[in-house]
Amino acid sequence: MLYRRSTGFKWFMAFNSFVMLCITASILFPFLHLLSVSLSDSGAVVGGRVGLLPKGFNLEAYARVFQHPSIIAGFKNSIIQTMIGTAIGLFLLTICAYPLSKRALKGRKPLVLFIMFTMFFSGGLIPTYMLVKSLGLIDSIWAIVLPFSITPYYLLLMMTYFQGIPEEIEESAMLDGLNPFRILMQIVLPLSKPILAAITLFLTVYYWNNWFNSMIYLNSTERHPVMMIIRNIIVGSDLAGNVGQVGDTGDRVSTASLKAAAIMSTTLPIMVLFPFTQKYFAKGVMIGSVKG
Amino acid sequence: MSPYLKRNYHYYLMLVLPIAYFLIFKYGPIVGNVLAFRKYVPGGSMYGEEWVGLRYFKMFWNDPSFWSAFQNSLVLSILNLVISFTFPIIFALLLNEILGKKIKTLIQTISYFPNFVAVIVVVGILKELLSPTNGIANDFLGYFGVDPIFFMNEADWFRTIYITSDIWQFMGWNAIIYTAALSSVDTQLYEAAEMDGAGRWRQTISVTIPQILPTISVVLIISLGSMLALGFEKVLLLYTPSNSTTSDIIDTFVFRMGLQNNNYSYATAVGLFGGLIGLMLVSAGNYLSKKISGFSLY
Repeated sequence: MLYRRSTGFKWFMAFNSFVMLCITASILFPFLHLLSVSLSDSGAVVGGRVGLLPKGFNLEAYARVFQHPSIIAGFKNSIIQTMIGTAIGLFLLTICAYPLSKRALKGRKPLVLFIMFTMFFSGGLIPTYMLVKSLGLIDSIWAIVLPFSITPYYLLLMMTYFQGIPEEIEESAMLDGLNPFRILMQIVLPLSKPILAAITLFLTVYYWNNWFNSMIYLNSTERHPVMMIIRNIIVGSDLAGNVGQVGDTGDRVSTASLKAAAIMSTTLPIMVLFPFTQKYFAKGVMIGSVKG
Repeated sequence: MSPYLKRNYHYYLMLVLPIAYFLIFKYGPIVGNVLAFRKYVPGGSMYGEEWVGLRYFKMFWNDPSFWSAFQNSLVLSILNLVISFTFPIIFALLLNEILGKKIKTLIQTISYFPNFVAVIVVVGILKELLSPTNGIANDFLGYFGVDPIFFMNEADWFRTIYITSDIWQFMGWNAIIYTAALSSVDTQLYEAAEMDGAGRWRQTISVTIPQILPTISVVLIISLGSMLALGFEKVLLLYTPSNSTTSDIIDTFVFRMGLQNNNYSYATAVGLFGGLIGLMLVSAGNYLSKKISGFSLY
């Protein structure tokens, strides 16, 4: 292509590469900075001498974070909530999306409308809270999991994907005498691994990252997930109760390092999983955009 | 049983649980909005005990702190809409010009990683970077002799912090849809433009942009509709009494009135008002979309 030889284009390419470099750097920088703060000793952190690399490298902050009983309990709670939430969500989404992906199903249109309406108008914060309260779910894991199991947007992604599976495959299975339950289990789901993977990841991230529902629905702090504990540390309302006590003056570890270590340890699972799973994330959005 | 049902009843069986779910957990709270017109008695029904008409609506209508929250919501939404909508397009167009396929994928992957980071972590990072005592931003300003700024506590900085961190977190993710549209542009169009003597800039204006215009308009309409749906959790985390003149939005107002002060009916009325405006925006956006691009959400 001719334009590639022009000097204007070369300048543009140099400029563009520089812009891209700045963007990636500004995305990575906060994580690297936080990581090095979490690994540095208190003198360097308080003196503001920590940039991209740790000064006075030590793992003390992590050791303290992982010795802290409420953080360990938090991790346990987070894992349980995430697993149960994701499993229930995936199950309900599948049995809802599959029948609704059948265009010939009588009553499909009003049902889809019935569901999609909740995407644009919802009960709002207070009525939802009142419902959870009157169902007696306060302070139980079900308050965190159930009200948020089916997200209409994920339902749309799944329906669109199921509709893309050639009907002939299912029809021949039907002739072999398989009922729709078995067709779903034995034929459709094995063909739907990409969308199942994408939705599993979306749900996992949602439940892992959630703190707000724990704050309003869980009264007992021993049930709080780790994000809620991090929230208390960061917002500072519970600084003394959580990490402040171990970050006394003259200590090798500063409060900033402890906060940074706590943040990094909750984000690390996502960071480690991300490179292996990112293609499914992107695919998930792409499937949705086919229809749009 | 009719032959149709005999063949299809399994499908309806599958739907029983999900429909029950929607009735209880989604329509329950929608009906629960009647609380806005009824008086709540502690320990009483979630639907309230006694009709009071528009009393709670009149109350917030005459409440200056509601109007301040309403105005803050509007300003933040509009700023956020304009900025969060344009950045991903520009980013996708620039990324599209990067030559190596591998490096392109790498940049894209890094760019959307923050989408999966928890809000609380984003706010934690902000607090660390912007801290007046050992934050890197104030260290930097210190070199120029600027006194430490309490970024997180200043009302004037709230909107900048909110929007900048939104760009940081979501630009890459929101660009994916454009990158997908760009990669499906027929290369023959570029070759034809090249033959006509169009340079790279001309090709972008005359080929690339028209090709992704449908995607842009659909995204614009969806974002118009969901304009008021701000990142409530982030605002709540960034909210402090000292920056509340800009950081109190409708959602945080509802949260404070309802769940912290236990004025359930009052908060429900405000929430319902916000929800209805949102519904109107979605309907308007959908109507426009149908008119302009033939695409509609329902």
